[in-house]
Amino acid sequence: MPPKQIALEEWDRLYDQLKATGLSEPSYGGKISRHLTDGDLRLTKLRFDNSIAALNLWNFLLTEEERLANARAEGKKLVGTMKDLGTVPVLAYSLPDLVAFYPDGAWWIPCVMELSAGLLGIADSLGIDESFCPVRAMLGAFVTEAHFPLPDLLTCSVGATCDDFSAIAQRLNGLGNPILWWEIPHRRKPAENERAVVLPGGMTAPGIQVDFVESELERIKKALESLAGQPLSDDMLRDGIARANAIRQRLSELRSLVFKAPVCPLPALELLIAEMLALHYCSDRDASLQVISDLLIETRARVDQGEGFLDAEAARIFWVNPVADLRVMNLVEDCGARICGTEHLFTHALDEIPTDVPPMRALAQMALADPMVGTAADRADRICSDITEFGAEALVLSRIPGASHCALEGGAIADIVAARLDLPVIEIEVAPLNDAYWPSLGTGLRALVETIRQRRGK
Amino acid sequence: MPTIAYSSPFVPAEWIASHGFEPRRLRGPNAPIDGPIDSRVGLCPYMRSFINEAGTLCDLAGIVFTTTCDQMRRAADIVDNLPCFTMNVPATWQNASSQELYIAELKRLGVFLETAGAKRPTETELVRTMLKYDEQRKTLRAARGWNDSVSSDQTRLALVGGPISGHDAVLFKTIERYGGRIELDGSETGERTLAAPFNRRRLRDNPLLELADAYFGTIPDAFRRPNSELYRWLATEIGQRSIEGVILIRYLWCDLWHAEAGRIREWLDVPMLDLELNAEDPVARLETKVQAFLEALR
Ligand code: SF4
Ligand code: SF4
Repeated sequence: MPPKQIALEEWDRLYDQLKATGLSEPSYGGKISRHLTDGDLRLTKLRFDNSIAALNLWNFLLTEEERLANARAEGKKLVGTMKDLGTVPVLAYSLPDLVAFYPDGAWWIPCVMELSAGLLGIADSLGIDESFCPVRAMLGAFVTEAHFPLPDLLTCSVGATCDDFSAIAQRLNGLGNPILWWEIPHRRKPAENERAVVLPGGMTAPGIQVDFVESELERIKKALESLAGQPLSDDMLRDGIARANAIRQRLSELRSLVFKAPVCPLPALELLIAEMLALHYCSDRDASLQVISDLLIETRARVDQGEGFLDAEAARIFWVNPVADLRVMNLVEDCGARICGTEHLFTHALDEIPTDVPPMRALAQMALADPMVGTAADRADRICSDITEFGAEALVLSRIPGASHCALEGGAIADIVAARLDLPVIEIEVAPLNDAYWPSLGTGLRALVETIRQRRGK
Repeated sequence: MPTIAYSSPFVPAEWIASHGFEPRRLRGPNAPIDGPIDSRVGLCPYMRSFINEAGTLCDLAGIVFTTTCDQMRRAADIVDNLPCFTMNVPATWQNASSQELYIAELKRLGVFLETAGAKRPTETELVRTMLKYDEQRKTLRAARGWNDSVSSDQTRLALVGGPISGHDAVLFKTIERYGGRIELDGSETGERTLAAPFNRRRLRDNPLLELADAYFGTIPDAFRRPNSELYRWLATEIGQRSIEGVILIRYLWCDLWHAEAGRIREWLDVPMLDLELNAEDPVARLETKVQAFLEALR
């Protein structure tokens, strides 16, 4: 089937045809449109990749709530891991009968449900208004208990995190939800005479900071062991890290293929969803690996056959920060651009976890590699090196409304990238729903595409 | 004497002073000034005014930022024409390792000061400086303590929240003009953030540990996780001073205090007024709110 982006109704028709020809599906399979009955109204406005691998990706993503409910029914314990994006789930999934998920994922509910869930209204009523980032929807999700079951243990990383999350998590705590807080300090460069540790992604941190984070993770480990009712040995954790790395390796290959292929083999939207799976495996680690592996096979086949979207002339854009409105990813292709590199605030969840140090140490190193706990300059360094590797021709900084880090960080990153790589940079703001601003968002992106084309001509 | 500018109450002034520098806790100028940080949507105006004011100090040897809020931490990233030090102040506090990290950061601050030309203090010098500051805080506490002379037609108020810049200090007068009286200043620039009195024996045994204890170990603040000690402190102080109303002070774009507004309101037994300051518009803009609040309390 040649690659194509199709609307939801077209997917329904295609699904019927595939079914008629014997499509075999995983347990979470079905028509994507069935999720409309859950209120996922945004699906009607999106265009989807027409591969079976993408069908499975979407169905896997949209059935997480059911998986969590089933896990609880089976007697498994649920761990809500807030903010660290990729670290605590590796620990939790290394223990049998623990399932970790990110309540932070509620960030996308206002978009996916087109504000119909009323979560932002609940956050407003609790004093968390639109001056906070869309993660405030998480408060509403805890209050309604309609989007994920209340976890048996709730952890939250604080310290060098954004104020939005720290403040909202504290509000949640004040509403009576116990939280196990753990600290990731602001990552700094090691001083001259200080022991330096190289982190995943190539940055360095002082050994004392790695020691500290390791001791913090030991506290989390103890809490998880007590929840699971059994100790977590180094061997179990090494196995957990190996499985996390298996997902990361495939994702890394997928990203590399998508960003570097002469013709874009996978739309930006599906790649964004795939990247999200690395954070917590969408509550099923093995299935997550399968979904990404299938996507990789499909993408590889397309690259081998020179198939894909747009053409080889498409403008190559590096995208910074996740978009609160998934539809904006479709807009990128509508404007004649393709994504050649992303930095969605969690490169530390994509880089492989070290295997040459004791496993708790490895996780501490990974946690400290979080782009959000360091400086904007560190973040810009990584962005520059990825832009160079993936051959992007422009940078889009996608601002997150209300996010405490965006006001200063965006400008700092833009200045460094523009000065070092001489690339055009634009900043746009993406709200959970942008239908009203569609023309202006499109105009900004089209102007960037035009600039890229003109620069090529010079 | 060269000056070290800072704003966070978690930076111990006596640590800087014992190194031979003048610690200057800035609270923002009386009028907005331009400097390295421009005004833009999403930026805390207090953070902006602090940095821009620091930039005007002619004898400035350095600025000490803390990681207590995202905005300050990130501002330190972009101030590149002044010597800056970013001190990690842990948000968590219930484990010994958090305090150990704080102490390690004090030592690192010491190294920064030495690089800026300071002399490392001997233990005797440190103790002497600490005692001097302890005495000053004692005097301050005595002056600010509960006061019998409140007239019965004045409404007893507590301020709680973030800092109050020089520009917004007129708020105190506005409150008085409408019949209120600040009985408890729980703002960041008020008595809430005074370090605890030193224990003399521990001070002599291990001054740095005692310093950490008095600051990191006791100052209640919204940024701490959990921030239950802030509520414990408020409960005690509000109860002891027969407070009739609370004014929450917070700056525009300050998430940490903004998020507390709802919780403090639910938790208090007395009415609360939520005041958003922006360090640039005159406080007069808020005058009617203050007036209406005080009238409702009578
Ligand atoms: S989007 Fe930014 S501000 Fe919001 S929770 Fe994530 S890191 Fe924090
Ligand atoms: S007022 Fe709030 S945002 Fe501003 S510097 Fe203070 S804590 Fe940070």
